[in-house]
Amino acid sequence: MTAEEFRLLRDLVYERCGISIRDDLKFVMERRLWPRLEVLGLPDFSAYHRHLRLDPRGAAELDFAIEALATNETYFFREKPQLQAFSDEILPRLEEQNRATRRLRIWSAGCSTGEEPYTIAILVKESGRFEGWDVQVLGTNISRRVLASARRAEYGPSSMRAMPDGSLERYFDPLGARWKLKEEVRSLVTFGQLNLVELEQGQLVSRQDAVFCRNVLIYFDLPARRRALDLFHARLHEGGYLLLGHSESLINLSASFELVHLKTDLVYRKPRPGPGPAGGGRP
Amino acid sequence: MMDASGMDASAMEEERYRALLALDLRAVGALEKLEEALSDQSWRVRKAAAERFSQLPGGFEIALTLLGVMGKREQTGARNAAAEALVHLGRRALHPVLAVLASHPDPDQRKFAADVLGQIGDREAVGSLLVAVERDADMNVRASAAEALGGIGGEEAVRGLEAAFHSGKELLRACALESLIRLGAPPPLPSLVPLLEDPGLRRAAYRALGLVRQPAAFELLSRGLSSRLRSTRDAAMAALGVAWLSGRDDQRAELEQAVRGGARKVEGAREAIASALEGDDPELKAGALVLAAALEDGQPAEAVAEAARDDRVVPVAVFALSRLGAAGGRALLPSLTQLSTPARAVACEALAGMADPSWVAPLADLLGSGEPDLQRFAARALGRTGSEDALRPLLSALSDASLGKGAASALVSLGAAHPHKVTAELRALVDRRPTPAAVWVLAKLGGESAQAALKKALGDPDPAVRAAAAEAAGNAGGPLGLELLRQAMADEAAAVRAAAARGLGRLAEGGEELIRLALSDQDPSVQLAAIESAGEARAYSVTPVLGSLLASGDGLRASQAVQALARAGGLSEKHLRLAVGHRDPEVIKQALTSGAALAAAAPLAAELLSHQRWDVRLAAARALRTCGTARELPAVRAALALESDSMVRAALAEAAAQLASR
Repeated sequence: MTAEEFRLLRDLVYERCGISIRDDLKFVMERRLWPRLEVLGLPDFSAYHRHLRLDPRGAAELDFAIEALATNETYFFREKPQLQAFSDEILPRLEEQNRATRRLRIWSAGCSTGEEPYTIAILVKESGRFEGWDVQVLGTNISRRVLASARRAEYGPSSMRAMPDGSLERYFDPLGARWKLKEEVRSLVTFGQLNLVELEQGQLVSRQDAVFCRNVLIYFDLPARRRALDLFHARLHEGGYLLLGHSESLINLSASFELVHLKTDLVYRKPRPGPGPAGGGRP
Repeated sequence: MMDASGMDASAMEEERYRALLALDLRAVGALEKLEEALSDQSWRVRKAAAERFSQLPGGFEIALTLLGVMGKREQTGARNAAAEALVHLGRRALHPVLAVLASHPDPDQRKFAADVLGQIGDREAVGSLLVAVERDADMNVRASAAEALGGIGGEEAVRGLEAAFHSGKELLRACALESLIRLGAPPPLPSLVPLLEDPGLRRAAYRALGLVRQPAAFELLSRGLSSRLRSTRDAAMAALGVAWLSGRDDQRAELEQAVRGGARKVEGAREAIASALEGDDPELKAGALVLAAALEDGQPAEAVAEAARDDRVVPVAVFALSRLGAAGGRALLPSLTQLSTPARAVACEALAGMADPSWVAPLADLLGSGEPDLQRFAARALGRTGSEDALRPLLSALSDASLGKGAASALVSLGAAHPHKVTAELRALVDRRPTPAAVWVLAKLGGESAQAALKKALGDPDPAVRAAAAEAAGNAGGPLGLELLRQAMADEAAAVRAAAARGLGRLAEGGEELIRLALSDQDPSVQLAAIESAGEARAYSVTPVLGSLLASGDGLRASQAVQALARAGGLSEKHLRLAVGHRDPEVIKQALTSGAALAAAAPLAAELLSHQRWDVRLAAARALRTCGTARELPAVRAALALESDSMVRAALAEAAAQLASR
């Protein structure tokens, strides 16, 4: 990949989806996109750039490119301490806050192939706090291909490597060498295509009680991260929670959220207006 | 924390931050507001202020203001922010900062000035920094100046740093060594050897050793790995990483040889590797991976693969796993499903070339794993086992929509070892139940014996099978190929006609009339395939049709038409003018590349040097290097004077040098 090809592809990916690739990661882009050249029978990355820009199949191919460049590794029950904090501390607070509406909305932003929103759905179910409630976990991603895979809800062994004992049998049916998630969990989750750096697309998301956006902001540059955070802020209820990846923080990004110290994790929360500590119900 | 207005501290900080971003820098008092913000209690506000200083017009006055803030000893945050702002100002701050370095009475200020100059990185500062390294009365200033030279570089800086390294003053020596390492210019080997025993300089000395790139240095590194002292072993391991990351392929081979000799003597090597891979130091990780490679099948392969979670060391992880050998690779296969995605990717890349017949069973298991990346790998590797036993699983995979193509390629590899067996099995399969992949691979391997199957496949009810047959018919060539393609061109499915149109370009003769027909097809995919074939077949007779496509608003069709016209020998000056006036930049770039042999190209390229897109200007500069004459030299020089894009500037400079010599 020449420097020119890298720049053309980097600019195109940034322009279409806000994913920012640093100059020193040229070799990463080359490694990840090389298989696409083989599949398409293209001679070099200039031809690949033209294909993305001009070919009628370019939009579909961009999905492959994004998936290769920015689909994070994911599996069920990833980052257990944070999930523990969500189950033990955030869900009880949300139950308290939403007792009047009996409605729970959680958004997995950048949901990859679905392991995260389905994990959240399992946790909500296992908490036993929301029986009879209107519960919806929303998974969004920019890649249509990834979403198609998430909707199929069929997973192999690598997705199951952190699955707690007994959960595999409880929530999945065997499907050859893979497993298919049972309908009782799938029915709690919906999916949609959404570009996190386009604020107008936020209209597609209803107001949420919690947003999971783990290891996604790392792919954006500073302005794009801020746009995504503005979007989360706009779509969260006051008192709603924002959960980032364990190595991510809002330092130098946004002061619109407050830091909340839970027993096993630090999370962010959209402050409630007016004086007094956060707490209490929502009408 | 709430203030009287009910606004909490974070909201107030956000307000100040946003006000700063919105500040009109042309307004009266803007400089004072920015100066005030440098002392803000929030570092985020201070950082934003530092960034905004660079957007102010002018330089000297701003630099003096910032240097004034740097003098406020009691305000550490403001001083750091002012230094950062000076760095953002860049060359505009150079002379005032140089004056501080040369003559400010406060050594602390001189030290700050040296730091700032190192970060600005302008070569003009080298002379003053060398004077400071040599003569400043304060050792901390001398050391900072040496560090700053490491951020600037150049021959003069390296010479000065070497002198400082040999000066004997410990702090200065350490800073000079770090800077020489940073510049990739290690001191001579004999002067490094004694430092390997010096606890204060050991780590830096080993890193420098990693840059020496001589067998004697590699031997010392290898010896360091066997040290019982963890600090020495880790320093040697990090140096090994430096040597691998910065070395050429031939040097890496020498390094590998040196390490292999000592690797087995390293006590607790597997544990040391695993521990280094858990950290965040990329050089240490790279060194651990080089050591792992030297252990061959004794390496902790899963941990090595998982190192690929860090993008910075991926190539070293691939290298290490590629040394596993057939037995070590086979042992890793069953664990692949449990590895993370990046670990699998490097493992698959490294293992694919090592497959041997003993791998067939575990690979067949992976083929049925349901994990798409591992299935693709398994198909490829099965083809490379060269074993007849791989035939059965690969034939089964041919009918899988996502795996078929990979399995077909693998069967081509396998067919080289067992041509009769593979062809016979494929023919039987295509007779029984043809799939696109099976038809493709049979045509590839079967030669004349596959022609009957191709004919039959062209009549298959499935258009994907017919398309595969049409694609293959182009390779058959001769009268039979032409006949099959003619039949395919009459197919009702566009995918079949497009496949046939692609095949037409590969026919030695007789295809031009069919290409003309395909160029007027209603389906764009057929047209596009025909344009490409027209170029491939050098079909001069269809150049008028290709020329008419240049007026198309569709950039893909127009750019391919330019390319095809050039290949068919029919690209004229009129075509070129039409193409460079196209609204799509890809068409313009293609015209500049394909039309460089035409006399009209040079003046047209010169006009495009002021195009708004950098990639078009780059293509124009490159075209001028090829086709320009002395007449275009003034335009190139004028563009060079105005150009701000570094890549385009480099191309313009090359073009100017080329044209000046013509």
